[in-house]
Amino acid sequence: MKNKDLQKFYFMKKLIIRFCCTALIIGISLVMITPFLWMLSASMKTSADVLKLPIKWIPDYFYPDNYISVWNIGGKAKVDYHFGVAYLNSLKIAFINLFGSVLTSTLAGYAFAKIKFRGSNVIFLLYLAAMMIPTQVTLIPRFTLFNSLGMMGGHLPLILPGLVTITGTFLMRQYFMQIPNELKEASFIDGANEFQIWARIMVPVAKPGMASLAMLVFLWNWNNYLDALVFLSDWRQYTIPVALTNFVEESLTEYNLVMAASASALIPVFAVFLAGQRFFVKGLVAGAVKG
Amino acid sequence: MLKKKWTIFIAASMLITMLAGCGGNSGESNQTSSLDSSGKTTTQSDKPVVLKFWGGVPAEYGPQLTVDAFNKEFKDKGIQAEYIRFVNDDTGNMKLDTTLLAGGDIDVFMTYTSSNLVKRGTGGMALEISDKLSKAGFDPAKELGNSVSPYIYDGKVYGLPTKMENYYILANKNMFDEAGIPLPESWTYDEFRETAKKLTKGEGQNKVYGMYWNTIMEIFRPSYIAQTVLGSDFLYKSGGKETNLDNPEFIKLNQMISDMMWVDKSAVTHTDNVTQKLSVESVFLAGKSAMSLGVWTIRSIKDLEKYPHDFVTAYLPVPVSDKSAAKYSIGEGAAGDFICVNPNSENIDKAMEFVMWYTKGGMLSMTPYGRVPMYQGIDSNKIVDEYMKNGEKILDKNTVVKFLEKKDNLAVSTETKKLPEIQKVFNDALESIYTGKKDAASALSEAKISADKFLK
Amino acid sequence: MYLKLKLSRQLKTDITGYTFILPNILGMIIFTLFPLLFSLFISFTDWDFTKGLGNWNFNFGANYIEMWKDGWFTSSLFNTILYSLMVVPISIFLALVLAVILESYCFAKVPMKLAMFMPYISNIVAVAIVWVMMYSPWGPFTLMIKALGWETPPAWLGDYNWALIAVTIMSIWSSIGYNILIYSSAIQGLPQDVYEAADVDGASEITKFFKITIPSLSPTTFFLVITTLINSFQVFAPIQIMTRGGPGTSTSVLVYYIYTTGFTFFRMGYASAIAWVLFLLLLIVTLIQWRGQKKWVSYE
Repeated sequence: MKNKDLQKFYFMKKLIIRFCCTALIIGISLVMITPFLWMLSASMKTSADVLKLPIKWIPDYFYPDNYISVWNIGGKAKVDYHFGVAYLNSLKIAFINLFGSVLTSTLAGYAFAKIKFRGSNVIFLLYLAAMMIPTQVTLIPRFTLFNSLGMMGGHLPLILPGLVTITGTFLMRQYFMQIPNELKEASFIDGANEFQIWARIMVPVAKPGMASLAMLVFLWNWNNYLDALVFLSDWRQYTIPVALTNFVEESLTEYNLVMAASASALIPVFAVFLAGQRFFVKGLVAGAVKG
Repeated sequence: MLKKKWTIFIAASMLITMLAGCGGNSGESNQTSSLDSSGKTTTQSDKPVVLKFWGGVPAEYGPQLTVDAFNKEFKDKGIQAEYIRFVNDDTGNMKLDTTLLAGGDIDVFMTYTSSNLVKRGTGGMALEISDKLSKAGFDPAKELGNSVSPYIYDGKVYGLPTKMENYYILANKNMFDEAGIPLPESWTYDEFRETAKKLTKGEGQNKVYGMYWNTIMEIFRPSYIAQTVLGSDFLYKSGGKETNLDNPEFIKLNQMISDMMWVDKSAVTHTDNVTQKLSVESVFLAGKSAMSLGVWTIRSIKDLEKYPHDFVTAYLPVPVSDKSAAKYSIGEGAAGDFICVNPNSENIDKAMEFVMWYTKGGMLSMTPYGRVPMYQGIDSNKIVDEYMKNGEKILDKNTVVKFLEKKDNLAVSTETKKLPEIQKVFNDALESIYTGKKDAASALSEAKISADKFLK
Repeated sequence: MYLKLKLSRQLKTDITGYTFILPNILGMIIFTLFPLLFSLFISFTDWDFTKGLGNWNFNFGANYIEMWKDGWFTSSLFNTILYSLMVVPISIFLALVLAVILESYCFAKVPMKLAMFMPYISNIVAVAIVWVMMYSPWGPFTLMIKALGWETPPAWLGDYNWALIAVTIMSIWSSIGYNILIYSSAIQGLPQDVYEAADVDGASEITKFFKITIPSLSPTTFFLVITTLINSFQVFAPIQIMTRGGPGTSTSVLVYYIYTTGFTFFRMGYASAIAWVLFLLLLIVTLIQWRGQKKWVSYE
């Protein structure tokens, strides 16, 4: 009897703690997304309404003109900020680098994990060390290199280095390490060579890992700012981050337009990541497990 | 045997990735450029030469009209032009330099500062055009006025200055009239400060300030007022071996600005400026200040759709420390917008045709947006008409006209040694003055010491 | 006979292996190793970009000596360290607490985790722009602070003493989601029997947190400290967009100063020297942590 009461008490206590904690976390989550909510709400107000206090989180009426002029829909905007071009450029670079680096990383990751070639350990150690090199250190030489090759003014300075990622190689190696050697050995006996094993057996097995890496690469490229700032020179090449900063510099005080532009840069990526978050989270965690 | 096969396969797949990079890239740029030319150039049968013209002004504020006018006029002569905009900041200019050095696809380009002009001229990025000018019978000093002489280096012309610009004080004429203050012909710092005080009214959200110093985009800008007394190379002294940052003119001017912000409270503070991202548009054009420093504002003043207002804007001279000592008409790049030709261009002669056309009046399409031609051969009434276009009701023609007159006392900067570093030192000091953290005398004398180090 | 066969098989394996890593190795050599050495080389020259490629003189480490007398560099270094010292402990500790609450005491944790994770995947440029507005006098952040009782909050990004803190708050907000995610998955992997044993002993939740959770998560903490530290040493975009290093030099950080010296002053030699100092700093910090890890990280 007493014991039962105690159990009930503990159960109730646990339940109350759970409710309190959930409430706390809900509160914090709301604070975390406040900037986004505010951005959305301000992006659908007129310029004057953005400054009105207290803040109206849900505007009285939705004002789509901000998005129309940011995107220059119908071609009537006074200044065309070429957001569409920037979007295509960002997508193009992100996807080329995504396919390129997933391919190179899967090849090399497999070699480091499953092929016992001489020097592989030394080279892999070198890779680990190279992960430490901040990209800022190599920025000026890369700039000089691309400049003397005459590649400035195009997307090659962003694409070529992006085709290989050291972190990606590392991730794929970790992934292949988990796959049992028996799988490979069985195929060897069947007379398949390394490449056939890689293409027919390993790649299908490694698909989840590749998907995770793909999401990461996409994110890195989509958000790459410093390189784009230094390497891109006119609007026909701009990617989203650079187009966005230029936009802000030119329409500094039109907070509503700035918010609409920012929202335009963010929302599609949210959509992509909500759809693929399972892979993405796995990729991030895999990178962390044996850092 | 098999191994060879897959080695080839891997090499091929690698190549494909690489090519995808290159191919995708060139495909993209082809596409956009064809898109551009289909919009701008119409004759495709004769394949006219299309000059690539790079400038820092958004296409919508004049350049597109200019290029359109050119294309119409030169349609039969087989020359067309396309405008490409670059961002006119340090990075943007450096990218223009590298594109020029790498033999990029540029024929004509604008240079906005004399330091860049010298750098590009001596570095093989801008063509020396004095021969071509004399062949065309164009004497810059005669046709553009005496102010261009500092920009001719030992007889060498790397670019023609096309634009004259003045700094002025923007004044809300309605507020002046209401307060019964006549528009001054000239004024000292003290008179200016008093006027700003008188024009300040209201409190809190409804406060109207006497003055708005637009220090946010370029904190350095108000300091150009000191040029009225100090003249051209006002940042340097003793032949470029020392900086001039502790000059009493700078101290007086910047102390006044700080006092207006923090003591008189007749000017919007720099801190408000930074935290609220204010601008001439959101303060002066919104009727929240009676005056402001006028620089690139004309296109916003005329844009009534975006910045609706019904008051009349007058242009007043900038205040001076001492009326008798003030000799110069000032402005950052008072003579500016150097039009240059790329020495690697395949169409140098055609590019020169464009340069001459632009300088001699082609640029009038830019005048409604604030660019006043240097060329003496243009009728001044025409310039006034263009400048006033679409702004007749909101611009005070009587005062505006004075700033469009041809002048021969423009203060033009030529010394540019370590300018970016010196400006950064100056900017840091100005920020501490404008936020009320330090007084002008001590901040500027400290700044001089650290800036001088760069000149050693 | 047998030996020969074995050798040639090893050789074949070698060739196979190197073919697999060839594209990768090429990329690394061209875009990482070569630039790294090249930047070390020019860091010992006085190269000014405007003078053109090859037009440089050795100055035998003068760059490395000059920087310590350069006020912009020293304050950028100081700000970088200060910023990291604020971001790293706060974001990691907060993330740990939130992750524990989320995993152990919360209903419906998935949507909440996603909400906290949103800032991390957001384009940093867009996010920094939104935060500039958040900090304005009529922005939600300032209003929230006022509502909490601080009637005259500072001018945040416009204040010499508060600007770096304001950037720090934004950075913690944007990076905490990642840390929570990593902690969450680590917590999910913790063995439950230890907790059950502690329950039998009547240990309180707080005791369990400090005595069991924190020690058993130490490898994860170690990983997060290193990655967060490396990221905060390399902070650039928020600074460039929110403050441009100002007011004065109060938010100038190393990467921002590298960018300024390289691409505003065009002093490529000097900028490379500073970049190398950044690199060395990162190396030293990581090495110290690798050594220290043995003392305080328990890998079971």
